[in-house]
Amino acid sequence: MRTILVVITRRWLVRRGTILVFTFTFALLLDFTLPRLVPGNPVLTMLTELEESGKTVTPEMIQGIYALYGYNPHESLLTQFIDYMGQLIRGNLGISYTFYPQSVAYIISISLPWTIFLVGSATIISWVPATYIGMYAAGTRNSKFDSILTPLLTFVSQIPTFWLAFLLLLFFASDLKMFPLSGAYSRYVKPGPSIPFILSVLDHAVLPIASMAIVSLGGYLIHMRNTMVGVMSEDFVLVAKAKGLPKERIIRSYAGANAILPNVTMLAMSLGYVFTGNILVETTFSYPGIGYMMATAVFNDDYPLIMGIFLIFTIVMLVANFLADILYAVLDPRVILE
Amino acid sequence: MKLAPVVDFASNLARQVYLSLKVFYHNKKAFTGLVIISGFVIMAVFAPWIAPYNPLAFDPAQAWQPPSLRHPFGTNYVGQDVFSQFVWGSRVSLEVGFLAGVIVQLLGNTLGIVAGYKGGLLDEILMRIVDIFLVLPSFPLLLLLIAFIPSRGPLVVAGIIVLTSWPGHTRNMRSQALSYREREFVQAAKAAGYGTLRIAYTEIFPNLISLTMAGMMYAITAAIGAEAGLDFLGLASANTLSWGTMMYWASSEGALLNGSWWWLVPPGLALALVGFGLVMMNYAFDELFNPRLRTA
Repeated sequence: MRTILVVITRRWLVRRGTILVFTFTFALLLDFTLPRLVPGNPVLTMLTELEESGKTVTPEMIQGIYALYGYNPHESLLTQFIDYMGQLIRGNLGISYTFYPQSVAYIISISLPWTIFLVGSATIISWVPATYIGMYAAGTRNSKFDSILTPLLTFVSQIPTFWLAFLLLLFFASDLKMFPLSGAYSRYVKPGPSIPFILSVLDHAVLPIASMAIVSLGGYLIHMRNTMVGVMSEDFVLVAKAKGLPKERIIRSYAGANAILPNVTMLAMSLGYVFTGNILVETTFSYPGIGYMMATAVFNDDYPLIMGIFLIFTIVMLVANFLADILYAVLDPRVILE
Repeated sequence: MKLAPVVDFASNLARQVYLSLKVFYHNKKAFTGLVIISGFVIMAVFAPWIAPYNPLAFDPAQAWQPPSLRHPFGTNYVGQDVFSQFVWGSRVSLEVGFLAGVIVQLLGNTLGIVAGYKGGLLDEILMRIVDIFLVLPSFPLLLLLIAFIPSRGPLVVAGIIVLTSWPGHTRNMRSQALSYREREFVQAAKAAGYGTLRIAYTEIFPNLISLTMAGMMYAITAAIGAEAGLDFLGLASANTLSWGTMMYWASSEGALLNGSWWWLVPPGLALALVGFGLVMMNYAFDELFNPRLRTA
């Protein structure tokens, strides 16, 4: 392990930082531009849609929407954009239509922890065993273990996560009644640091986490196995074999130690897919995380909420990629980020 | 004497093609993938002849029937034949998948090779755009775009999927094309006055076919998954019949409470199988063009 200072050059930081800033600005521009591409006055269009969906539109709401988009036909686009950024910096992401009168920032703040809990647990549960098993599958390439396990898990990695979620629901919740059908905790327990609440949360999380973890397990395992197959054909492994080292040691300390690195990067790269699965799985379970909120928002044309959550997803992606690069450099003595 | 290099080249090429074909036919993975994918494609193409019923015809008297000889996959909440829906539904899923996959290829190939070959400002600008798109979360972006688009037919969906998934392949192609820029045959073509696109497609591209194939399988898998996801969320236009919408209706019309697994299992299983078939072909191409994997 080396310290972060050794592996990062200033040049890398500047370049990476520029990409980060550009990407984030681009996401902001998307959020800023899309409502304006709708023909007519975007604010009025949204208000009409709101009224059509049967919500009463209050004057504060109208003001809120104008303020949020920085929409002001008398100003230049640039001024409008700066106004819009000003709102965002103050943490004002607007007011959700669906959950009116709650603010978008509030909805995100209560739903994000649930998602972090789900995604975090599913990732740990799947990545650690996948890396280990994948290592041995490749180490014992073309053995019975490998030739049965690998196609099977390739298939598993292609299962639509939400479909698996659905099947688990059908079997374990609907038929066997072992787990609850939806939500994050029972409505009969009071949220708080109490044992019944924690038990209820775990009970509700088993199926969503299982469906995400099983599919990711397939993906991570196949990735690890294929990287490992590549490493096993390298010369230094041949040398190790020629020296007559025990197979176990070659797999673990020689090839495995090298193959594990791309699997670390894979963690960050796969985050995009994790989001996809997460949105669909949370929707299947009506689990009150940020993915379910996104789906609900799109379903109800709740533009402020859609745009707010999109920004959050973008920030998470940016940070994750940044951290993955640094982690890679810290772990791999050959890498210097420049 | 002058003919020797040409003959050499031709026999070499013939040998390469022969070896590739041999590997492909003897490759279990390639064979499995090919059988699965062609099976589904045939089903989609001949849907009118294969499906026993009109997939949209209501028959309330026959609602919620479990699988039987009359209805091999049972019926749904309004008595529509699930098997017929399954057969017809393959069309939208495969169409959107293949269409988006192929366009992503064409776009990625052209932009990637031209950027890698030309270099300079064009390359710089393109790659910065790729950098941005690569880290934007693609499915949330897909949802954001779809929310602002009034029409949600299969073509529009394919278009949006292309928009969110072109950068990965472009970057791969570019980094490979870069390594061919200084080769003699490319330089010769340049000296002969060939245009950029012609060099990209007739000189550089043939060397990158394996990468293109892998990228194509990958793009199709991703596109089919994204389309199914959108449909499952109920974001397709109301009259779309696809594997994704089948699962959406199964979910919203209470297939769970009814325990009617037969409505739910076929579309999801088919999606997993198509993905599996494409990945298998992808591996086969990999083994085919990466001799290290073949012999190790």
